[in-house]
Amino acid sequence: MLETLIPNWGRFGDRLISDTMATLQMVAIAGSIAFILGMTFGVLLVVTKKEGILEQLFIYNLLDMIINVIRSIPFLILLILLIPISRAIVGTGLGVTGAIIPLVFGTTPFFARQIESAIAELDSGLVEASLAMGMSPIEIIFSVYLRESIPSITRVTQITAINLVALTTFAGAVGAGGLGDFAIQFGLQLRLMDLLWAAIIIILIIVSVIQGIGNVIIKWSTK
Amino acid sequence: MIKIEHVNKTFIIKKRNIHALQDISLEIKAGEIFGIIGYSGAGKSTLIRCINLLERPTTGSIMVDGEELTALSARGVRQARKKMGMIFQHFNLMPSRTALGNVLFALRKSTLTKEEKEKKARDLLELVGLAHRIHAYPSNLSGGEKQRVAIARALSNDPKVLLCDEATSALDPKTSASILKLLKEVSQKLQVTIVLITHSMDVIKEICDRVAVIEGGQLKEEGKVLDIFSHPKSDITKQFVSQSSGIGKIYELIEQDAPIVALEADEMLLKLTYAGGKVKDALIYHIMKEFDVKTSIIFGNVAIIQHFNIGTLVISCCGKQKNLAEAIAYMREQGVQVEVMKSC
Ligand SMILES: Nc1ncnc2c1ncn2[C@@H]1O[C@H](COP(=O)(O)OP(=O)(O)OP(=O)(O)O)[C@@H](O)[C@H]1O
Ligand SMILES: [Mg+2]
Repeated sequence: MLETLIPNWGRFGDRLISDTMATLQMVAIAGSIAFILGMTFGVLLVVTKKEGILEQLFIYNLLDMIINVIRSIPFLILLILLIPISRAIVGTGLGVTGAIIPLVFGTTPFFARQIESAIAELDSGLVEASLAMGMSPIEIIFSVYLRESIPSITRVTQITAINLVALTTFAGAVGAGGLGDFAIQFGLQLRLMDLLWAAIIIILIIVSVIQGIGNVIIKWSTK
Repeated sequence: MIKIEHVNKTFIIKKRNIHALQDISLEIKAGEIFGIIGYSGAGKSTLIRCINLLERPTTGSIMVDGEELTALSARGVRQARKKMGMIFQHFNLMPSRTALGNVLFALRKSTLTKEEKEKKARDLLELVGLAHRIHAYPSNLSGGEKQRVAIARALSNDPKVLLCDEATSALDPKTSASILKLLKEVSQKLQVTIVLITHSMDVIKEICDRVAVIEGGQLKEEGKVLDIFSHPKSDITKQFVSQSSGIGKIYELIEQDAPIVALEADEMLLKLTYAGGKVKDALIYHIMKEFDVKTSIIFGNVAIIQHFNIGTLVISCCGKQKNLAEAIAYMREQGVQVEVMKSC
């Protein structure tokens, strides 16, 4: 069955599996780290900005600038630029491990901005009411900002995760493999179109799963 | 209960100073319902937000229940805010929580046990008439119901003060009246001091004991609602009062020289205001008979304020100059305020 759909499965099937695993690993690990960091920075942006509940313009401006700078560097360049930093932190600049740090750098600033605007969508009256109830900034962050924006946070997480899947296709440049690398080798160089299509379908499945989980959460959390 | 002294608030926007509040001093007594009225931009919200320090006064002092709020630490301010409830024009309920959840949310830092909190929240929702809707989410509640939940939430920490920022402005007249009635009940049952701001004299008339009128960040007038209604002093107060009685319309007609207020020779248009049922029913009959002044009524309104009535009449009188003057003097003797609106 698989042989008729993908004639080259027999020769290169295990490569397809290992590259899919590499992509999944990169998305899962880099995604988790970027989720936590991006959420933290996004919330920091919201609370430290002018009129924020913990207004700290110095921190806001600094974060704002760093995010803008990192976001303006094309990912492929970031990937190469960060090899030394990767080596310092995780011991290697190559392979799946070496790709994690650049993927985190490539995803976090974008995600932080998305979180910032997701929270900014909230009715400012909610914060006002919470302050009037005598709630502390920490309580407001967790019980109002984050909790009340679960649907929009989920939406931006979907977008960011799908973006991250796209970024992993560059990771072949540092020898991390993955479905992007697979597509270049087998689709571009060897012209094995059945394998190229197989890679595309796997990516479609990954994206659909991300969409599907997100949609369930959005549906459940929208009252 | 609340003592506001020489409060100034200046916002600085693009290097320009906006004096939102200028030297406001007010004292609000325990248990009373105190209204603050003013047009949009007058500084009402800024003033009420100063009371719980959502807005920090630039200078001046805010004493609530004997405590100087401006001197408190951030933690102290949070404690003080718990003793004051606040409700808003747009309700500001947490959309992800049910009615019950919203009240419980305000109770989460209280020292009660879980069961006690739950019972208290249910009792409060019952008090505001929402016992049957406790599991509904805000998106499924009407405006009036949302404000009821907000009132229950604001009362959850047994506040001594309830601040209401245009609490009925987003509601239709009938719902608005029912919310005002609820606030009145709450103030009596729970002995809460209520400060409410509004741009509608009808709200003031309905439930307030005393009222302050502000304009351009300044306190223009302050006093018992009945006094303010029957003897408004400042121009802005007069405007509010005449809008509320509907008499503003007559002034407009006079300005436009409309036929209904056109006068013949020896005729004049008088505005009579009388308070507290003092006026003899036969006043009009009397001036017609004794002074030979032909009288017809053009407009009439009676406002009931805390069981007192304040009547406003616009009449046109026709007669000899001397008789008219005597009639006016007579009416003034009877305790009626007489204003000549127009004469030939
Ligand atoms: N945070 C702020 N920054 C700058 N200016 C402000 C701020 N809040 C209020 N003002 C200004 O202060 C003045 C008074 O505003 P305020 O909101 O107190 O008026 P209001 O009487 O409540 O009006 P409304 O009936 O429209 O609610 C306005 O000129 C307003 O522009
Ligand atoms: Mg206002």
